[in-house]
Amino acid sequence: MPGNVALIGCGAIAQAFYLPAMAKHRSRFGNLWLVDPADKARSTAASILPGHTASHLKEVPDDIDLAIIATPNASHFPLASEALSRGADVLIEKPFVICPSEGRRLAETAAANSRVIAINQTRRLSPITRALRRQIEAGEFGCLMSIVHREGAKQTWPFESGAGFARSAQRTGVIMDIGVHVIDFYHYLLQPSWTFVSAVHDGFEGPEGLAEIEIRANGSPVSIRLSRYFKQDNVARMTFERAEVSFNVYDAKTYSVKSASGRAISVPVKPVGANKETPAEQLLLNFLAASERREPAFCDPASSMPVIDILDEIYRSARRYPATLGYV
Amino acid sequence: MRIVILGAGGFLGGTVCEEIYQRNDIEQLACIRKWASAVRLARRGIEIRRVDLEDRDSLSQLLAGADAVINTSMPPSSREPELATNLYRACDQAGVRRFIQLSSAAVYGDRTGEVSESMSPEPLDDYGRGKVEMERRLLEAANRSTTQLCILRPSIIYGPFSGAWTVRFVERIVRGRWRTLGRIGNGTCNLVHARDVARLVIAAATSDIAPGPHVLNVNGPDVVSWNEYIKRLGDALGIPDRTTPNAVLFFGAAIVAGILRLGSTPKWVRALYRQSNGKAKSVMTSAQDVTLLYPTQGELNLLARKVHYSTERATQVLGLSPSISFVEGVRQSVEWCRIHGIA
Repeated sequence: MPGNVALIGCGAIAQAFYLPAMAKHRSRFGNLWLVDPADKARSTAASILPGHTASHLKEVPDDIDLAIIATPNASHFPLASEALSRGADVLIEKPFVICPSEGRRLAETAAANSRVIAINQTRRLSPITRALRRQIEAGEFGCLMSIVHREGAKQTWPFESGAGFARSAQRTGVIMDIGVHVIDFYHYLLQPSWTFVSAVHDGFEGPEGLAEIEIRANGSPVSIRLSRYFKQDNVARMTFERAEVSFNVYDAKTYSVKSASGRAISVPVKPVGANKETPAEQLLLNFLAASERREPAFCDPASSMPVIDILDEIYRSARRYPATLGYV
Repeated sequence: MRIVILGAGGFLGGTVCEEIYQRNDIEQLACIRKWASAVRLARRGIEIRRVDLEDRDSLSQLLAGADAVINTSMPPSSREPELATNLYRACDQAGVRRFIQLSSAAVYGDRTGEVSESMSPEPLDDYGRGKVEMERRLLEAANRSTTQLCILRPSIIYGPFSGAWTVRFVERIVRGRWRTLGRIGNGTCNLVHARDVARLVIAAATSDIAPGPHVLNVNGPDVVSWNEYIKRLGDALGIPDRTTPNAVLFFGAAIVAGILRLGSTPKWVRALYRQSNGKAKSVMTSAQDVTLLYPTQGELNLLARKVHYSTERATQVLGLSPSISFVEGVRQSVEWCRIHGIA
């Protein structure tokens, strides 16, 4: 069992995702430290799962075994670097870094210290992801022809801090928030080589809330629209040589497979995990196992870097919508 | 000049902030209730602060140094009169020169014909009653205050980011294939573009205006019916094969939708919906679609009401009139809907 475990960042994701799952497996998480500069966030976290509290990572004893980093995106790299250097295995919330150079340096630091980095790309744990990956790997649908993905709704996430909305915030808009999930999902399914085509977003002088992205997966067109403003079609549609696969991204209990003959079937997906664990429990149990070298992490830097690379290119190359007020 | 905007995370508050953002002579602080509503403002790099109007102690610090305060926040009707009055009093104590409060033409309730500010309010529902009580308390407080009060009563605010009067109508026209609503939609649609409202709000905060409190209607430059609005939106969207629904059948469907709306309110129904799957889910989703497509009883009354809210007084006091025509406003709305994946 690990000794000191630091949960760094006690905001909404810690309160809604990590802490309830850790509470269910309390005995496996040793000496818990709740780390956050905000008093309110720390006290709320402690009401869910009691632990020692600290404002900053430097206040936690040196011998940290595990660090879970659930802070604003731009702080992942410095915090993970510090935790790795202090000998901890780290689990980092998505996106694990905001640019490729940070990702490569983190991977090097982990290797130099013989430490594990795991990343929370939750959609890899979803039953539909696993079911589709199995069928795609088995070649049941043939080669990919195209992808259309529309996802978004009015933002309702209960952010504890406004760090992601500050003018100085880096890469905290819808592309890094939802886009990293979307591209990671397709990357996990298809393992393609990504190329950038075009992108446009409304991050005129701050984090974007709307984005349209055109990329290619092994040469096949991928069209993605993401919004934090209004409900979108919320559909994922993959066209393969022999079938069209689609599902509702917010209610992925079934997916539709339409064959070339036009016949469509609805395929139900079943929960995975030995005891129907929640995705948070699966993730944390996998992190413990990876830390004990019993199994690999569901998502590690090597498998996430192609996603970070293409996201970086999207941000660097994207244009802005015409800034005319009233139109965008 | 420094302006503090409350309710900046909302539709109108966001439009006001974006308009101010274009001006070099105004420094603004945009206040929101929760961070989730910061998306629109944050993209422009506007300074944002989270503010809870229920926390009276925090107001004096917030308002220090402000020349004007614009309150576009929309608390529950039962709390709005007290919260707006508390804020106004805090402005007075902080030495704020002017306070702009957004109210609504809903204060006039079911009145018809040409309606001016001199007519007494006749609210129909809790929303309208809350606005009337808020106005009454503010005007009473203004008698003992050095902060000048300006209350604005906008009508139907449409345009980009208008959930109620643009997005919902576009969705209904697309899904219901409405051409017009026939005799159901013959009432006057008092449309005013959000940017026009924002400009008047800013003028109320910054212009030299006659002393004393003011209560001003805000309405658009064109007088059109709801049917004309629906038809022009549908035409601009390019929706083919639209029809005017049979009024009797439409009313019947609206009643069914109302019953379904009531039926979907209890928590256990919503929980059942979340957990359901397959055909059960499909049936419940269809029921939900019906409730969204058909207007509520309040909306049906609005669609039939023949009323026009006069803006003569606003033009006189502010020296400014709404200028975005109905045709241009609809064009902008549809273009914006396309960009946002709504149509």
